[in-house]
Amino acid sequence: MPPDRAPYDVVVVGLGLAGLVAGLGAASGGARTLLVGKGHGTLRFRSGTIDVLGYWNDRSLGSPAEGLPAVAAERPNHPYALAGEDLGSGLEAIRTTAGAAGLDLDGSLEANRMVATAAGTLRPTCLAPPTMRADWDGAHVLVVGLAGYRDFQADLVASVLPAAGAKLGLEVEARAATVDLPSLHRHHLSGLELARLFDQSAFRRDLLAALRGTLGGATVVALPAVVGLEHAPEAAADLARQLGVTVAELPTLPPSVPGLRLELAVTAALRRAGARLQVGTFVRAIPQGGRIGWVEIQSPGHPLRVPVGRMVLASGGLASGGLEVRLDGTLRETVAELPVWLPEAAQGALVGRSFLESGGHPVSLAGVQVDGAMRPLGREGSPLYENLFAAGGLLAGADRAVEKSADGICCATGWRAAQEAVA
Amino acid sequence: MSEPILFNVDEVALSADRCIKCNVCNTVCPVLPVTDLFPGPKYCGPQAQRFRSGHPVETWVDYCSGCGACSRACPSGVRVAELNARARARMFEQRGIPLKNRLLSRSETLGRMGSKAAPLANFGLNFGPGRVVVERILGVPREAPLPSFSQGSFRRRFRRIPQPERPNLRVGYFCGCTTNYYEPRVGEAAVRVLTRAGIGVELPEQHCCGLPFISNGDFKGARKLAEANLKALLPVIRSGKRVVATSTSCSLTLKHEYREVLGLYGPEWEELAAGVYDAFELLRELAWQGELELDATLTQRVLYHGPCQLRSHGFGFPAADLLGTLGGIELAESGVECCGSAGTYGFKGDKREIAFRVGQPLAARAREHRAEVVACDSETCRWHIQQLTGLPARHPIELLDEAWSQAERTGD
Repeated sequence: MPPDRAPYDVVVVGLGLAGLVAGLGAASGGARTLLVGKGHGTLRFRSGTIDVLGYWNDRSLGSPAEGLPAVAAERPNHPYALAGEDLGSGLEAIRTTAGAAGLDLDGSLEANRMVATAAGTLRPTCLAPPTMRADWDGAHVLVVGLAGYRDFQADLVASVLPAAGAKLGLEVEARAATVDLPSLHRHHLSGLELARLFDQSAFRRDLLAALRGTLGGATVVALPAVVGLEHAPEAAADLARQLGVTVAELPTLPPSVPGLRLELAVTAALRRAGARLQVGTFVRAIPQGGRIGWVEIQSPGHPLRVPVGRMVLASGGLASGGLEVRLDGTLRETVAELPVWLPEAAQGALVGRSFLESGGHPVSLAGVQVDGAMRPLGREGSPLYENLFAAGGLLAGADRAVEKSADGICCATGWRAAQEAVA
Repeated sequence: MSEPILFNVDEVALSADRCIKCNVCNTVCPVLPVTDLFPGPKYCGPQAQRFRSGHPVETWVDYCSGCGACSRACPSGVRVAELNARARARMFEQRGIPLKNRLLSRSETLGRMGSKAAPLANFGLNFGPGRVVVERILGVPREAPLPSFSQGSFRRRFRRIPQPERPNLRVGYFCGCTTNYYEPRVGEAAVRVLTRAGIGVELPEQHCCGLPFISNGDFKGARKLAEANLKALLPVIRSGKRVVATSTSCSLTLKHEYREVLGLYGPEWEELAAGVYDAFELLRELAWQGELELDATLTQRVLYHGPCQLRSHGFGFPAADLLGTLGGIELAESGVECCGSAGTYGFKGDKREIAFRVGQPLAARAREHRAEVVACDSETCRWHIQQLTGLPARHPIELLDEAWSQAERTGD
């Protein structure tokens, strides 16, 4: 017998950006909210920027706003075509929450800005921490590597960056320096250990002393995005002030420090708003009549059955385990066994010929189809469950890697799903 | 559609291949930030696992505290902590188990001996030179928080607690060695709370769950205890009763470690795992069904710390869910993965300092909340937390017992 009193108004499955935005939307509206996920969400290995729309139809976009009408017109099942109106609110929810923790996210839908990557290339994003929003045009960049940190090669960045700038019509000069300090001589040096070092003023003092002689006429000092974890804004401001130049952070390989900063800020806000977060268990949604009756949390020994008022499914796409490819090439949705839509082009040919296919892979468009209220649709096109709403990477119709649209989709659909779930 | 292909493989060992090197485990490991002696769960777990077949096992695996934060954080389902526990046992198999580990595992034997001679044993443990002897033999640093032996076991006190006349439900209580020999008050509180909720409680035959053996690398000893517990507890479960525990590390061992760490697979082990519940998990279920009203007040500022081993149960924080509904309580969650103690880890020689450093965020959180008491479901954690924070650390069931006793006294 399932318990008959729902302890939560909203159960969110998935702890990535879409789940967290949905959680914020539900909890801030006063709903008793449980967020549960199989592991931590992808923020910890994304770059801490909010990409909304960088490219459409092979064209680089000066602003997301410029491309959104075309998306809605050309691809009716694209998440922006369905929930684009809530994009602003979703972005604002993340921006306000991060800002309250001292992590500003600058930018607007009216402009894309170029952020530099650890490979020295430049890519468009919409919202980014101030430390990633350097003005590259005309910049004299000193790229600073840290000895022993293998995930960031200053020489590589400095040799690629000018050409990457030139392609976009930007004039960038760059040279590299690698700093060696005794405090870097650790057995294991990842971005996390570095971020904790940057949190300490003593480390920053040593770094400044080592940099002063090499600064030359640099106007921008580019560092791997490891400038502080708990005291990141203070660490970056301190360095910029002491050096008298712009400090730019370049997102690196995971563990992603800026992504972790953002996740910790949002989850702390969720806990303050009274939401409960549970990390580590797979979840199944159990239908009961025309609704989801309860979720079965796969705890060791016996499942925990939590009765469901409303449920937001934000379990992610193929890379996150929300979708799975079967051996026969068909796809399944792993939590509620929802039907998965696959574009015709993908049938029999899920992927293209090379890993970084410029036009994307057909399978990227696959996912769960929803209506404007984010309710998953059955094969015949009508909503399957009255109390189930889906958001984020799980949704069909977008090639996030090619469009650079993953985070914006999470914000728009996560927010819309939460609004519908608390309505 | 064709029949699925079934591979006869060990799911835990195979899980290492699911690692996509996303590093999420390294972002949650509480040991990694405080010492260079441990390379972090990614290297120690799935990466080192590839080199472990037939080769000597590296020694740094012993710095894994076994808190399980990595396994919980992994979005790809890699059982990092379980791989580490197995590797540690293999390391000791090859190098021999140190005497201090052998002694420290035997919580049941130590408890039985100690509680028989409680005044003398406690004098020895509280007395400076006595602790020097303990440090030399057990490898437990003289500053580490040791509990006192109780005079008379919980089993003897249990019989004096009245049972409900017409219980709605009957359960078998797995009290664990700590409750039996060191802290019978926790067991007494548990039985009072359960009986007041209309649950009939019996105390079946039981043995140490074996966790101290597992964490000290003695799988042979652990398996013997597991078999003994299976024999003792299955009849309880087969008679339709749940086995209910208050120590979340004991219950996790029965539910999870027997299978995933000791490799004891099979239907009877699944039956055991399915029948074991945490006391608050059961109480919360009753509350969700509308069969239990807490209806009491506890005017205290409480920091609730869900211990690492409770987190691996994957049932959330049932104690906090219930305590939070008490009137007058100012309850905050620690939001911290691990206090540092992680079972007997924080009691062993050089790991004492690591455990202390791991615990600092928890201590800061207690200060920030201006807590008067820390509630925590695991015994070794409570002893460690008392020392970390200078605050009393109590089992949440003691707090609920206190609130209900107060309500009874004032005739609410």
